[in-house]
Amino acid sequence: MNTQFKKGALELCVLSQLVWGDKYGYELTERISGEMSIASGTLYPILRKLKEDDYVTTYLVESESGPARKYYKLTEKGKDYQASVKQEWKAFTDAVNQLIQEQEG
Amino acid sequence: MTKLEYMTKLQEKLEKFGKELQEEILEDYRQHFAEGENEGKSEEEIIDELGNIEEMIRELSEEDLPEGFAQRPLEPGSRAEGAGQDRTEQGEEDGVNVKDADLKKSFSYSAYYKGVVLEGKAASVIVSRSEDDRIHVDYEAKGVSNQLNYEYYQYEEDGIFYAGVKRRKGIREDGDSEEKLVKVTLFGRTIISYGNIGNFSDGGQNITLTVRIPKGIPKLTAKGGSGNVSVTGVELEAFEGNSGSGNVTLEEVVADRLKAHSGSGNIRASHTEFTSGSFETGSGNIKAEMVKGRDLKCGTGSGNIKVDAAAAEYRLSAGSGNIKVHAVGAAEQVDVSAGSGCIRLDLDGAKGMEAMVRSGSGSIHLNWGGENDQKVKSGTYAYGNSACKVRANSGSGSIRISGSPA
Repeated sequence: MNTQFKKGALELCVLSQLVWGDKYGYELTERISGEMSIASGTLYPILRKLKEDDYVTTYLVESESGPARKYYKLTEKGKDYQASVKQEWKAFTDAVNQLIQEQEG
Repeated sequence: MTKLEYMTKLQEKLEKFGKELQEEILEDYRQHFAEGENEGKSEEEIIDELGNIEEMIRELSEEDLPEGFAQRPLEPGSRAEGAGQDRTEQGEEDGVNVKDADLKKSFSYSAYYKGVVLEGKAASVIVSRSEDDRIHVDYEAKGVSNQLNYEYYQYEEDGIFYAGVKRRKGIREDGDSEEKLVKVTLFGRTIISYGNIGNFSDGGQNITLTVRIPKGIPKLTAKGGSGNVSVTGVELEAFEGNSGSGNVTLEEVVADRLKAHSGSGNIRASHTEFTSGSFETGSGNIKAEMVKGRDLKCGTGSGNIKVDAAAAEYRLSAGSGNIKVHAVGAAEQVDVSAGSGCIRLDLDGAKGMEAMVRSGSGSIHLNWGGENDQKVKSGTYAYGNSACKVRANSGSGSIRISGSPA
């Protein structure tokens, strides 16, 4: 798969997961790798980039499992961004569906 | 592989990104291991889940993307409608059913503007000089009904003149078996461009926006989505031409700051002058002939570059294509870099050069003042008074540089 495409899609997945509440890294990777087969490790650079772009912020919470958990929280900018990319994604999948149907018809 | 081995390898691979980033990612992985172990997973399971380190590294490295792709402003949407002039003759309700209609409209505008911005989208944009002091726009939609899905708009804001073509609202009706236009952007890039648009239908371009601008407008921006952008005979302070998949062509353009960008189309400039000129395309070719300026920058991902210019500074780079340069006059600095293509540089009129040449696996030939070619290894070589600094780099292509002193 085109890496830029994949990256964009994963970015959208991550942001969308955060719309309904803050999550820590492992939680996010588990959630996403539960739906699709990806190397969980690749999500960390994506999360880092999202933070760099101010779409998310992070905070640490002590945990019993070992090192402190890093939670990710969507910023206002991140919310807007998620909404606009989601729109794009919908337009895209609509178009793909349209084309697939034309092909079949 | 054990956790220790995996983490050691990770640490090594992250070395080149600097301490801060390295520690951040390592910490993420440590946390991931801790959580996994807590859930009773084995080291192997967790390693398997985290996956290939190289893949993650690639993700990190990808952050330095070519500009144009990294940040593209969101579409301005349908801002201020034109002042009642942008109705098509077909009217709103049955525009879709009109077959094989040609639509041609002309407008002219007075007043001076700080700038002109033209957004062609699926239309081609052609700009030339106006004979009077007015801006003239001809909007022409040829051919099938699909094109009438678009309409002309014009407005002004903060002293800037905007004109372009936009999609009409509420178009997409079904039951029409003709090709529909589908153009979709995702993550800031065009993913799908399909249908009867731009210039890939039979009769050439279907929608054209022909604009004539008067002298004295300092700034021009011309954008085409899938259409071409072509500009001839204008003098400006700043020019920016952009096309997603179409070509950008400049002829007899004079601008202090000149920029031409295309996603996948070709860029061609001739008889063009600038102080600072920049031509970039993702996968098209760049051809600049008879151009003159202080600094010239060309970049393409996979196309070729051909330059015939008189400039002081050159910065040319190609991912996989070849680069051919004919530099006339007293060049001061020439940087040429090719990923896998060949480089050929002719310096015509420099007093001397200091050449730093390097090729991964290609051959290198130098020639100064018409003597025999000298086959050399990567390194630095000086001829004459070294007035011109040349740096030529190719990953695997050959390099050939020749100079004929003034």
